[in-house]
Amino acid sequence: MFGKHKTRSNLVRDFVMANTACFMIVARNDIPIYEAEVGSAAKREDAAQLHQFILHAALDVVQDLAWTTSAMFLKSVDRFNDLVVSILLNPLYLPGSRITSTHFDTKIIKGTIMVTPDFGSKNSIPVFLSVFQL
Amino acid sequence: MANYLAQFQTVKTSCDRIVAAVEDVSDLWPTVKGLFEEHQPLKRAFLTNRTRNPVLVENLPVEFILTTDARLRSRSPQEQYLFWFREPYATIVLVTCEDLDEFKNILKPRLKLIVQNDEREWFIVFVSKVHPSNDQATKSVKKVYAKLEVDFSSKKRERCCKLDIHGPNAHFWEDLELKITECIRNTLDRRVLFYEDEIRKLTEQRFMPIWNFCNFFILKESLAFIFEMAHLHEDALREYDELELCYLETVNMLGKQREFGGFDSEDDQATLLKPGSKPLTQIVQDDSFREFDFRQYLFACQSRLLFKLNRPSEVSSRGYSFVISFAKALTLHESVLPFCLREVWVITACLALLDATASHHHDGIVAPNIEKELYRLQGDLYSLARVKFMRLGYLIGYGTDIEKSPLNSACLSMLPWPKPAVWPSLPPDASSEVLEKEKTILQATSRTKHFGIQRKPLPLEPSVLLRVANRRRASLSTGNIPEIFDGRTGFTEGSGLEASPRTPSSRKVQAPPMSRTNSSPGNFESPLDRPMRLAEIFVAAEHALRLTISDHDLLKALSSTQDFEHKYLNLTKGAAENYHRSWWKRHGVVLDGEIAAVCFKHGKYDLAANSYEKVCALYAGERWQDLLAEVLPNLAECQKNLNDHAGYMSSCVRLLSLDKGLFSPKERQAFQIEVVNLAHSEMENPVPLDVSSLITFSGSTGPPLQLCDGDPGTLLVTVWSGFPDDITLDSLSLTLVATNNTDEGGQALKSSAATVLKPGRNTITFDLPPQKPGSYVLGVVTGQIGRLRFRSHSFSKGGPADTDDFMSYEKPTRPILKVSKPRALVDLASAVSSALLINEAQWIGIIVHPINYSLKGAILHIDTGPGLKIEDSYGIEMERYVEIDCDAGASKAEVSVEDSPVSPKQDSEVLNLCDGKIVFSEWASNVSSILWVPVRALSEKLARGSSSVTPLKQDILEGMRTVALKLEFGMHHNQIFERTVAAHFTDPFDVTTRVVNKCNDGTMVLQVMLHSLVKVNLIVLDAWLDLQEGFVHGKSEGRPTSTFFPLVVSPGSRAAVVFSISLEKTMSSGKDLQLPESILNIKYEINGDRAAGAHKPVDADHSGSDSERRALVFKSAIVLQRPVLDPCLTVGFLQLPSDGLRVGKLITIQWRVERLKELKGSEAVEQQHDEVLYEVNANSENWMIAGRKRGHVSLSEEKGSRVVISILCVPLVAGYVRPPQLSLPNVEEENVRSNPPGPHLVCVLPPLLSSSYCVPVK
Repeated sequence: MFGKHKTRSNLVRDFVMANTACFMIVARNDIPIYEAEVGSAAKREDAAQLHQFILHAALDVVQDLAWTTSAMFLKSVDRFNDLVVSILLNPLYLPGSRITSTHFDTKIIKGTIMVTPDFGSKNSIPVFLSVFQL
Repeated sequence: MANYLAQFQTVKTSCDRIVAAVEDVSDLWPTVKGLFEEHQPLKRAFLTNRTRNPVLVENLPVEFILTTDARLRSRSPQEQYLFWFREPYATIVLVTCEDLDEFKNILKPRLKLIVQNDEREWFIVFVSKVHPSNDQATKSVKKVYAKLEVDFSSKKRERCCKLDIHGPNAHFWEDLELKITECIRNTLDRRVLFYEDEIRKLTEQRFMPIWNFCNFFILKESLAFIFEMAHLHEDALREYDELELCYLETVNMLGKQREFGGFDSEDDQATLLKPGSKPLTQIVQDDSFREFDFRQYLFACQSRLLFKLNRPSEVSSRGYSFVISFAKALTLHESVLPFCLREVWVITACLALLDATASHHHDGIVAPNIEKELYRLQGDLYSLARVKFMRLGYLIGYGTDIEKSPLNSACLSMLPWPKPAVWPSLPPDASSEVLEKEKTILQATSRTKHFGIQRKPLPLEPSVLLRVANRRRASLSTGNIPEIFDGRTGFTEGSGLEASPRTPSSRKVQAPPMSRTNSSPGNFESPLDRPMRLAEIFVAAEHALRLTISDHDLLKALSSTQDFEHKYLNLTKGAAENYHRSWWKRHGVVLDGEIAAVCFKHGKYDLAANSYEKVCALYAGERWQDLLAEVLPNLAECQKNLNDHAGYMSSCVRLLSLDKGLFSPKERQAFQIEVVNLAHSEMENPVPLDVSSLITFSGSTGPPLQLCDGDPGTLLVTVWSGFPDDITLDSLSLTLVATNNTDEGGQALKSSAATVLKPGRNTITFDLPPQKPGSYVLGVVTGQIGRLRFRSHSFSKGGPADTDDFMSYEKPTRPILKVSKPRALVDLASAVSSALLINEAQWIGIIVHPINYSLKGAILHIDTGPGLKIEDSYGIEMERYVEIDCDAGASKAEVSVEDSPVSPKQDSEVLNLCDGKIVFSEWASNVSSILWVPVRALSEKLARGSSSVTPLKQDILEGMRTVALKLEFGMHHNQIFERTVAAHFTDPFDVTTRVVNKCNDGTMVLQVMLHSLVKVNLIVLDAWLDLQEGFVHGKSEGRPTSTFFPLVVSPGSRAAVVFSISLEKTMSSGKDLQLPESILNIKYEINGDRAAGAHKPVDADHSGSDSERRALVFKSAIVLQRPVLDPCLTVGFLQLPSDGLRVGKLITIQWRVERLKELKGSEAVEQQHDEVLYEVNANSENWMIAGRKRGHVSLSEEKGSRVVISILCVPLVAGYVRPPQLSLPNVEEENVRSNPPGPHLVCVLPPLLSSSYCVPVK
């Protein structure tokens, strides 16, 4: 119902590597409005910046992909070495409104949003399901 | 079968097109060969593809070979079977015959023999060499051909066609093409079926031990080759795809580990586009092929077909995936392959793909989205090659030349090091090179960032190279190493994913089991048994790479720093350019930034600045501040070097406006110092700069400032400064923008003096000059620091959040100032509307009524008009004014004002007029007050009584006097209110006289009526009459006949007094004291209140007690007329016409003058006796006179002579009007008798209605 009417106003994207992940919500005009470094590993000090850089570059992919697929969840739109970028578009989001969905809360805050797809054992990359706003 | 591989290879290369065999029965081929070959290739051939669907193939080339040709004859049946694809697809039998018998007896049996072989697809071409002019022969040939057709063609299939060498043959060639095509199609179908059958059989045996991939390959490729020859490239491609799939399955089968390959010389150069680079026999291994070569071979075949299909973008996309997956395979075998072979191979593969696709791609031919995708892939290939190239460069010590940007860091620091089984060791004679490298390392000091920004450079290594290299050497244990590390921890090593910036495939390759033995005999004996130093590692890697790399270009690119940089730039530019073309602006712009870094290093600051601008604009536009913070200092430095003051300051300001956490306070202070220093430096021109992101402002919270029109005020504005320290502004101004009128630029308000902005919140006071009415919002804050002119448009976010809308970055503009429309702020009115006494000192009341506006300190200018003067000797009284009669609400309001603490409890005082103005007291600021001004209206004129003979001429203006008032009020006396107040002055009475009775004794009773003109009781105390000549007092000696004094005359009422007078019998000539007219004197008193109207004069009021009240005297002239006693002439007004007078209608008015008695005495002597002077008087408003108004008429002196004077006139107004009157100026009034005796009226009718334009009514 809303698939055809995707406006890219807000992307939630994330990005996970070995034990670390970066979760960002990107709003209208590709403006980042939320950023969180998650993951258990000891943080590399420059990781955040590199993550941002990679996510920003991935917006190029998103801009192409968002209009060619009706899927809202794009599990692996981009890869950078062993980093995977996945994206969830939210077409129901009204730009400017607050995110009030309790579903969102449970998924984001309680961390159930992380799943581990089978990418093999050692190099398994937890891919983030992300909630996504449009 | 695998033994035939070499032969297969030769066969394949030797034939590249479909063959048609020519069975030349009648030795015709030399004659027609030229013609046949001219009509090549086949223009339109319908063939059947793999899925049995007809496909149109255009321009299919066919090679004609005689059956007697060695190429066809020498083949053994075995060979024919194996390489069936090269066997002829059609057999053309060339015959000619002109004689029917010959045909029947010789040719036909021979032909039957030829065509009996079912396997062949054949048809007969009958060639007629007969000239058309030769009828006989032509007929014969026709017969033979007819017979041929009967014998060899069937209903199902036409197998004959006829070529006339000397005739027109257009039809023949079409026919021939159809027939060849039919043959080819049939043969193709049969062969495809055959091969597919064979392939199926082989596939079924796939998991049996006897299965041989080579056999499968030969069959499969043969089929592919058949399709390719038939130009069915799509089908051929599919065969290769299937072959690849099958190969990958077999190669990954467990227990069948084979040699990988990649050890040959030049194996480092990718051959993925060169199918013939290595003969298949060379790469065959047991029953299969070496993966390294064979996969490249397969890809080469596929790409060849794709190029034939004109799909270069698919080559790119398949190529990219292939490079990635093949590199993964190389990773698996990395430990045995030459050092860095993988990296070198990827570089060469990418470059080869780029070259090939670029040369096959022509702009604009394909759909835009495909083109876009192609460019994107080109960009990907370039950046992949770039990353690998950087890695190689880093390994040999060019790391210092690589910018430690986020892009490079992300590419390299997450890309694992190569993992050779043993790290290359230093060659024995390399000590000089090591020294040199060490020198370079020492020289390469890391560039200190501008502004003294202290930031740890982003890493380019996934883990410390020193450790990795040494650990992978044989003789070292890890325990020896820590002292040479710098202690960095890196990304977890060992994530063996193939490193490419973007890996579309989700497949993963297991990291190879790490070899911990590291047992290489050579290394044990190495003299370098200690840990290698970095320079040694670089030199060792360089030597190893020289062994690996066979490509001269690549070798050269790595041979020196300059060459490295050149190649690096080429790759970066290529990537950037292609990404831009594919609209991947982020990728493109970021790479532009890398180019900028190189330009910067070489001092090409203008180029660098341009590119950095783009990068900054991108990040700033999307507000990725962390990334912006990385690039912006570089841009600033470029701008500084370019002396671009404006740009540099702008960059500094942008740096300051970034999130505070991104730079340390010290760095931020450095930015500010730069801005201030530059602003105060010797810049030629003032630099305008937008500092909206740094200095923001907002109005004070709460309701907007409300001002009345014309009032100045003070505006408080909160300005937030984002500077880390105090900053001194030379000036600061603010514009206000009217919300209703956006066209007009707002007015600039200047802050008083130099302002120091503290970091954070500042409150600035602006003086506000009078503004036009309307509501105003804050516009722009502008200011100056030295030569820097800055402006800011942005409203502060520092205030409380108005909404939950976190997306709104600009608060809705709130009015900061409201200037109300011009309205009455005060009202001045005269307190009394009724008349005051003229010629007496009277209080004139002026009500001052402030309308919700303070009159504090107001000044009232009073200027009296002509005929009025202010009695200076008395003060002006001011008192609170309470409206009683207007409405209760207003008076209530007054009360409430009175109660308010600001107004003191005072409600009257005496003010002094000074220079025609008075100053209001504090108490009168907010309440209505009344000013009593003592004035005296001056009039020289004596009041005149009226009678029936001399009617009163009422002149309203006569008693009118004006007072011009001007009130200056407001904060700065900026408000001015002017009004002229009128006051009406009048005499107390209007006097009317008439003679009510004539007594027999000659006394007359004169009634004098007094009509009160003031709104107050008048008390008449006394009245007396001073008579004119010709009249004498009666008994009461000038007093009224009866005295009822004091007589009270109520306002507006009448009273009368009666005098008795009589005519003077004897004319007392020569009496000096005689008056020309009679004077009525009335002594009266007045009561009354100044609030109501006329009242006691001011001086009387002030003179003190009531006992000494001063009576006022009112004098009025009255005219008494003596009766006509001695008439000489009589003037009679003749009757008017009976139809009456009408406005606009001309009439003649006539008087008859008659002499009653003869003139005598002195009068006759003085005057001409026979003439009378007449004069017509008429009110010009009522009449228009057309004749002579004044003139002489002759009248005889005799008694009874008469004359009629007539005059033409037009009535102007309707109603009862006084007609023109005739007077005789030369005759004494007493000698003229008039008829009618007194004034009379005539009736004038209105004019007739004009009916010119009226429609008659029924």
